[in-house]
Amino acid sequence: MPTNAKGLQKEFWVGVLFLFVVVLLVIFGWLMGAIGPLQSQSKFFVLYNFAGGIEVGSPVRVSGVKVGKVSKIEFLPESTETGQERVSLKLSIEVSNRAVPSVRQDSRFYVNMAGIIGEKYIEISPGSSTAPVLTNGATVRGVDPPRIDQLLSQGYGVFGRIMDFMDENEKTLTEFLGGMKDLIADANKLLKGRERQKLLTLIDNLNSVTSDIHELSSRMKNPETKKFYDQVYDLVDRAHSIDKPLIQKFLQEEGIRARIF
Amino acid sequence: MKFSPMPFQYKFRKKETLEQMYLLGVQSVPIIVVSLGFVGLMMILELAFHMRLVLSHDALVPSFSAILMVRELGPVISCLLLTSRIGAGIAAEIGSMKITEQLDALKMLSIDPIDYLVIPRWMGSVFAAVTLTVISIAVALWGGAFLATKKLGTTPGEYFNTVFFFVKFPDVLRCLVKAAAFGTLIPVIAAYQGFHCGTGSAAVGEAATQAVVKTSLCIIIADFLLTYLFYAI
Repeated sequence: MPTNAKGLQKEFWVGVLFLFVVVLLVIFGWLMGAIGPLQSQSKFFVLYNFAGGIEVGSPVRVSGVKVGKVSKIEFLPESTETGQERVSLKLSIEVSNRAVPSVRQDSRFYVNMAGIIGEKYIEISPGSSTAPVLTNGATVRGVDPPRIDQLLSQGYGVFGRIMDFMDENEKTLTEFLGGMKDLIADANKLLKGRERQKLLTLIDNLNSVTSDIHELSSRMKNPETKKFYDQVYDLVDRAHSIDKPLIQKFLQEEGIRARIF
Repeated sequence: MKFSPMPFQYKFRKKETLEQMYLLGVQSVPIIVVSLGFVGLMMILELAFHMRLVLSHDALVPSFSAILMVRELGPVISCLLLTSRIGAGIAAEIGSMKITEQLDALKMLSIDPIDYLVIPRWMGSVFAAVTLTVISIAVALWGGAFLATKKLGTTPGEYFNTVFFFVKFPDVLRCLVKAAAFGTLIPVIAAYQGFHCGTGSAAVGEAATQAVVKTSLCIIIADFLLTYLFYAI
């Protein structure tokens, strides 16, 4: 083979190797989300006071499906972008256009955690169909995730106050607990002793009484009973106009007044 | 003395540079593909064993093996293999040119030996280190996906999804910077050993051995320094 042809062959293979590596890098970039030349995306800005571990590159999901990523995190020390509320973080997120119809103005932007080591991502809940679709470049307020450190700190504070209270009132608490112990012991003795049968009878009687009252009140609600009482009332009312003193005396003597009035 | 605006005058030697790219890069592809392919397989097995032992779970084996491959083993093993293959060759070639007074002949012809011998090898070595590192990562990931599918019961989709959740593109770029740095060390140290070769054929062999030993050592130290610079500061 001539020398020139050999040189060209080497140039060819060097070129092939170079192109192959460039293609591999493009594939890596595409798979890792660094480049997406064929994807059209919309950009939204989400405001938080606490990002809960979100980083640049963290995934963005709509209904649990990965549709984008966090592209930028900015600190806003003086910002009041959502009215009077002061926020400290502005996250730029990129969302694939195929998912944008599900992102409405009443959608909620949560910081969620997935996997066994807790990787963080932004979950967008689909909004209602009546709300308008969120426009490209819109700024929304995200739902701040709970701060575990603050909860722990508050928990420590509460426990500290409980401990202080217990230290300050140790004698009173001891007496109270002693009294409770005696009370429980007496009640236990009562329930286990000779009075047990009387208590059970008493409970049975109470059950019977409440059952009777229930039955009576049910009958009182009966339409026929109600009609009867109405008729008696009407009768008494008419009699009342005839001879009030006499009727009053009659009713008082017979004790009917108490039933009706 | 004639004033020169540049620290040194360099003439791009296309033919020599392409020759070195072919010798150092293209001809090293088979050894890198085979070696790193098996390294990828070995890492899946080892990490699966350790994760089952400690966590009783192997869901993170793909991501950990990929992170280790991209951040450390890909550039380091590729360049150590490249060192053993080309470092000794460069030192021996330049050393034998020295003892046969070919370097003096080049100087008499007003050809700078650094310009003529080292720069094309440096370009070829950086090209080889970077390209072979990218290929080695691709091969190791592919081998890992194959073994994870067979042994761990994951699908290729799950494997790559887990891998690319943890491995980010900046990691790949830092890996390329590492590869370029190691690719620079190989010809520089090997050429230094060749230029400072003693007289006699035994000295050439000694220069080749020293080139491999010192380059390997420098690569490992440089790897620590770059890892510290990229991830620990």
